[in-house]
Amino acid sequence: MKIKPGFWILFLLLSGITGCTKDVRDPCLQPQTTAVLVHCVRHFDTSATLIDTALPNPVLHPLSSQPQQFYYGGVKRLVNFRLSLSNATDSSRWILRPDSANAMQDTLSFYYQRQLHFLSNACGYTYFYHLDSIQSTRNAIDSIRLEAADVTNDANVEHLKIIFK
Amino acid sequence: MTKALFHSLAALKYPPKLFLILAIATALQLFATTKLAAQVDSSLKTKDTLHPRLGHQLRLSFDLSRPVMNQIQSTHNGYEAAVDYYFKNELYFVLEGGAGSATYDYPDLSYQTNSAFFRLGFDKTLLKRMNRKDWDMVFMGMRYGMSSVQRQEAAYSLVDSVWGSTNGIIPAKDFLAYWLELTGGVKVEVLRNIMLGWNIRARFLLNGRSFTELSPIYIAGFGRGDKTTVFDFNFYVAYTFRWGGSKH
Repeated sequence: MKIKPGFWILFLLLSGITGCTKDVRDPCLQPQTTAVLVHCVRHFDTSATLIDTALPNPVLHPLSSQPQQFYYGGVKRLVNFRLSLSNATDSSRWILRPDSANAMQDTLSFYYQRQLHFLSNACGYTYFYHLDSIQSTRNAIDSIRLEAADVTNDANVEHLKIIFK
Repeated sequence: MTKALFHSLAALKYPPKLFLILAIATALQLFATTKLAAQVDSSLKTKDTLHPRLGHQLRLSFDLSRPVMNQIQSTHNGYEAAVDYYFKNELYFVLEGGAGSATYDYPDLSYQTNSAFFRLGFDKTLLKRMNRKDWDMVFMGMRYGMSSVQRQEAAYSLVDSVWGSTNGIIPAKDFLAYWLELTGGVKVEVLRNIMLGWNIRARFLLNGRSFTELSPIYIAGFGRGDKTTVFDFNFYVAYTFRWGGSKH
């Protein structure tokens, strides 16, 4: 069995592979955040047909114990936006003002179940949610339609339609 | 063992295509080499007047690559050893074993694991001997592996700038991992009774679907627990015991 030259060549090759092996954490290649994707619509005339409506200059902020933070402030003509949910409680509330120049605003209340979900060693854990119900005041908002109750890290799922007056 | 093998085979609901291809290739290779070995054996039998018996060989091997990798990689470490016995028709029975541990320590996820394993299988020599004292080998083989893994409590942290960050603990868990593997390599006698060798391995986890809760980053004897197919290699130094063979 004349295999010694080949043996040493591959021995050195595998030694090189061993030496080049790095001890680095894999990058996280999937979304880690979960949020409710909201679509803004209104009725077309008096029919049941819904058409997109853009919020002129919206302001959104959570009712949390944290210092209040404003989202989408300065972004005009918003049709879709995302709202995160608290992973420490079973309900979250957001204030929505469609136009910063107008004092009219609504409160959105989300009631849900939380489920801790393992993504991967690279991404760690996140929370998935199951929406039980959504309530809101009726100042600028006409009604709310729940499209998908399960909120995961799938960024393409529309969960909620807010029908404005 | 039989029950575990049954469960692990039952768990193989969706075998990877690669596994099937490699399994078929191995089966064909073994069939071909069995015929070759039979021819070699018969040719040796015709010369039995000169070389009455091949004898026995027991080989103890230690994997040199693991201590090296332990120095390079800070997240895990392990040790492996093997014993194989020459049966007949260029077939070796192999028992491999070892242990290892891993530390996964990042701000969002941290835990430790300890594991011990064994692998059972065979190696089949592919090339014919030059003479009866020639124990060098180019081989292919198959293994069934099992590892017992103890994962300690895992701590996780979720950063949320809106609602506030949360931390939590995942309870400790013990579990078993089963896998099949194909291997191939070379072993060469560099000094009398001292052999060096390397082999490469393709491993296919049979019960990977049971690790959806928190897949361990490292399973001793297998490799990364969050992958169902892994590739690995070993460098062995071995000492052989031979008896009962011809002096010629």
